[in-house]
Amino acid sequence: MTLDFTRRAVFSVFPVVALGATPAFADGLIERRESQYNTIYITREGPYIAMLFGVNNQLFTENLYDPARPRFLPMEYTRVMTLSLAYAANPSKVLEIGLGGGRTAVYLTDHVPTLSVTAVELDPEVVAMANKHFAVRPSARLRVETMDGRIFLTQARERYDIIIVDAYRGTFVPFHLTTQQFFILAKRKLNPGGAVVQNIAPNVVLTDSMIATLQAVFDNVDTYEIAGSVIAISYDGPPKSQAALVARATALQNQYRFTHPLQALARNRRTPEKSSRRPLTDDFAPVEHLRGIQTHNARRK
Amino acid sequence: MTRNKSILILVYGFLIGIAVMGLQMATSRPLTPHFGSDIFVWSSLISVTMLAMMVGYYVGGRVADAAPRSEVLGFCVLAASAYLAIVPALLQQEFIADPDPFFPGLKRSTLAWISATVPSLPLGAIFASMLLVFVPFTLLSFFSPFCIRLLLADAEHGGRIAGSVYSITTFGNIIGVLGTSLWLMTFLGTREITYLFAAWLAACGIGLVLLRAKAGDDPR
Repeated sequence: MTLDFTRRAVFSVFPVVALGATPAFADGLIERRESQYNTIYITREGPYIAMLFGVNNQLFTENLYDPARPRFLPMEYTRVMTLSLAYAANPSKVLEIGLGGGRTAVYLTDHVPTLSVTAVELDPEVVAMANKHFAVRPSARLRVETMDGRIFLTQARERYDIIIVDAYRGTFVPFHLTTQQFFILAKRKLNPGGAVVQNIAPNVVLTDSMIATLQAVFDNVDTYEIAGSVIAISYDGPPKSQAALVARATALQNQYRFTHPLQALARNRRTPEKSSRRPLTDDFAPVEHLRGIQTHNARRK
Repeated sequence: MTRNKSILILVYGFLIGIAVMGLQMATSRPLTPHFGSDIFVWSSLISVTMLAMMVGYYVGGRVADAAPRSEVLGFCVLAASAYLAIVPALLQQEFIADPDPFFPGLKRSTLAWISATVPSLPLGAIFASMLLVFVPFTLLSFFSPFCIRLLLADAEHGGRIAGSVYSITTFGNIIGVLGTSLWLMTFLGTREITYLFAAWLAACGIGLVLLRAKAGDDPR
């Protein structure tokens, strides 16, 4: 699940949704599903098929898919997440927490024939919609598990080279996927030289607290700001130089011919200073109350 | 019982009502990392709370008839408070060096152990809820029948008294739910909130002991 402010797709549909009616979509609604967690809308948006979640009277674009160009990722932040391949020593197993429309997982398996992706999604209706409208076909190399991402990770016996965390419930990430304990757990399920990718909603307070949390767990945290979204890629070991990262990205690009060239994505790289904020923990992570994090940080300083 | 003592008892009921639902809100949080954010986590916690109330009302009523004195009720509330003071140790933060102020030696989260041991997540969530809230909530549920027994001077006013007791404790519940989720949880961690309510209940328990009210006292 993901959200994207960049397309200004977050708009209030109050009171339409409140009354239980379906909001009007300019290019047409394909399907509407009520799940235990969201109202899922599959709509047409120009050339794209869109998956939107209605949460608290707002709509969030989770994913876009262009059926005419299946190897194209319309959402820019998802392209940056594919750069994680250049971070991993030997990318062969990817875990994605939060399937959404599933296009990132499909893009990765389509381009890299040796790669296998396990996608974990909480909402069975999202899995059904991804299968029906976003051409997400589970296979030996693309496994879809319907369960809580944290529980999956706790129980996982496998190790992964890349763990992508892109789970949202409306405006916020479920708190148990934002904490130090969660990232320590993720780190324990990484192969040596692996990387964790986190899509962070572009809210300054949450972004800073998330980066502080990642920095508390990993030796290195890089961030990529793209069209208003922040993607954090975290890894252990000595920091990678820009030249080495670009060289690795170029090598992978030459080998797998990605639609969105990896070395170009590496250009936006930033390495944030060590944050002074207090990391989020299972005990305290009021991600639903962003101002709460601010107050807490001020009090702890 | 004097009018002042009656009012004080109802004030304690209000305060205990805040603590019960505040604790229930806070307890939902530590369950999520180990049992998921599915609706069954909430239903486990709510059903265990209800079970505690079921037992607490039944046993509390009998205890109240046997010893209708506010000291007895106060000691029950103190016992609930003592149990809650241990609960944060059960919520020990896994993996990270963040020692509990009272039990710095504990390393592994008890809830993680339950989650790994019990084969079904809903069942695990029920066990965990039992461990965290059953004992204190049962003891705190003694309050309503006890309070009615203490305040009841004659059968003619029984309805009014029972109604007032339930109304005031439920009002406390509302404040507890909203105050904890919208306010306390924005700046305090779950363990801090648990310690806060343990101290809060200790104060209520001591207050009830010191009140020395017993059933059948002159209502004027």
